[in-house]
Amino acid sequence: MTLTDDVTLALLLAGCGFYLAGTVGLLRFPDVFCRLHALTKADNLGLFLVCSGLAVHSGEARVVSLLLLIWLVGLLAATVSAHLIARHAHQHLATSPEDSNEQR
Amino acid sequence: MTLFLLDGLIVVGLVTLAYQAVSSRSLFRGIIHFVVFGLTMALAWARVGAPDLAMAEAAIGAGLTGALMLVAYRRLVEGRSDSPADPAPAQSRLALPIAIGSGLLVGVIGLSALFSEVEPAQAGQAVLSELQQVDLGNPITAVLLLYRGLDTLLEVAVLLTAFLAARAVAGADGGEGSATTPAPETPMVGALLAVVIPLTVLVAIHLLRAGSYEPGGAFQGGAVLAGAGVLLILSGRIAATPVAGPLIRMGLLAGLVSFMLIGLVPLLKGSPLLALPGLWAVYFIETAMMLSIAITLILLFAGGGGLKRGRNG
Amino acid sequence: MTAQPNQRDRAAIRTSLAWFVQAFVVLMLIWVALNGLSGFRAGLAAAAAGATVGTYFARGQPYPWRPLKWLAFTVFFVIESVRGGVDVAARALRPTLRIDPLFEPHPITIPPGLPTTLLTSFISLLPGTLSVRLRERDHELIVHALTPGSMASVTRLERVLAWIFDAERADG
Repeated sequence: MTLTDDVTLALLLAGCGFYLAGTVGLLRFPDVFCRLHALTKADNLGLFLVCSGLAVHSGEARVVSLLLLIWLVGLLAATVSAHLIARHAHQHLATSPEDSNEQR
Repeated sequence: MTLFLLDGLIVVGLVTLAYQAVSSRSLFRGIIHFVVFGLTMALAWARVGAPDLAMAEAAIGAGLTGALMLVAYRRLVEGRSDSPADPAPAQSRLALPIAIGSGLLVGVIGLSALFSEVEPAQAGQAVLSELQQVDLGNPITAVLLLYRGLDTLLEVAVLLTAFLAARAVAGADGGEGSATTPAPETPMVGALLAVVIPLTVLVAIHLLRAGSYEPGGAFQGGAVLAGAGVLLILSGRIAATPVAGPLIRMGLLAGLVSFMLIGLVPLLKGSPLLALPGLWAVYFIETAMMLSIAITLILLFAGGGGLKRGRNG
Repeated sequence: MTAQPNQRDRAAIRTSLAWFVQAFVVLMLIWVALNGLSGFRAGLAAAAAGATVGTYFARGQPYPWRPLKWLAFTVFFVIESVRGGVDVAARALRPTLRIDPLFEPHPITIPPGLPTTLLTSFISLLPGTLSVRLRERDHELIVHALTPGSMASVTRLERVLAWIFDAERADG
């Protein structure tokens, strides 16, 4: 395998690793806000690494710019969805009798 | 070996997700499982070498259908307000026999496909050799519009009919209890839309144009455009009206009418029906179809007959 | 002190025009990146259509033209994003779960509008913080932090955004 293939493989594996970590966080963290942390940050880093790996693998300017666009739009979607979900959950917290500090 | 593992994972995933989608006690969970099922199906299509289908499945099957189901779910749930989890409906006695029968059917078809002799694909070869003369790079588009144009024409007609049927079922009820949420007091939604909407329009037109020589085309572009419309409806920039205005009506009919008219013209010159006069006809019809498909899908989601600028626009 | 109605309209038209131009240019760039120079006319039509639909339905606030600063911001953002991902992945995978989550209302020190929107969006991607609720009236942002120390990310991001927008920070 060439050097390009090695780098691609490493980046893709790292990306999948971060996706896995995000999913583990989704399962382990106690409440919806912490889970959102795991999903936005780990998954976005995973996306960045996967896109980088694919960009390295293809080498064409067209594919690289497409992957860059995909990464940016993926980021935007993730951060806005996370904010909206957090906002909704926060409003529900405020109206329900549970105290937010009890959600450990 | 690894490919076999990948295929196995996809198959197991599909079956599990399908089962979960159907048998979940919570309707919401079932819907989410269905959306993920659509995405895994897109993966399966890509794996068997059908990228056009994969794109269409991801956009329509997972994206738009998912949005439609969530809107339907919200209207159902709103109608019932806080009810505790409903007891699961009693399982019909036919469920098990039907499940076994379907499984056997799929198995028999699959096995016979595996063990039958693969005859050389004659029609496909003919298309590929004709492709040189036609200057269309994507054999799928050539088949859809040049060689089996009647099928595509009928598909567009079916879409329009489905829309009319949905309107008939919905009755005169257009727009009340529609899909819009109350105005979200956060500028994040506006910021998201400002970036996503122009980009979506560009990507849709890119997909449309790319359909000539690589995976893409009118259906994929239309589905992506419909996605933008769904976003606009959800954020209140577009609202549904009971009756369609003239612009919307023209948009709905553009695909079907242009395809029919351009298809009828060759009859006057003695060529067979739907022998399109040139590549320009293909581009024109595809653009018109993309618009019609997008507007139909958006109207189906909006639940009304027409569209207008919403309160937040 | 209140602007006359036609002054407000003129300002709105100027913003719309500026946004249209920005959207058009960016869309053209993306089209060329995707298609090269083939189909340039189709690209012009596509960019025009996209910019028109965008300006009509979802007009945004135009971004200021500071290419070097935006580039520096991109570098800052990528580094912080990697740190954020690694940090949360480490916490998720460690055998004992070491998090101490809390809500912290943060008074925003940069001007409202585009800078605040960018703050709210990017804070979720930086280590340890998640934007929960933007209270525009009080100009504060409720942030959910994984550990009390994570709030430093917010101040850091505010400083960078203030630098990009040449804005005065409210607390000096």
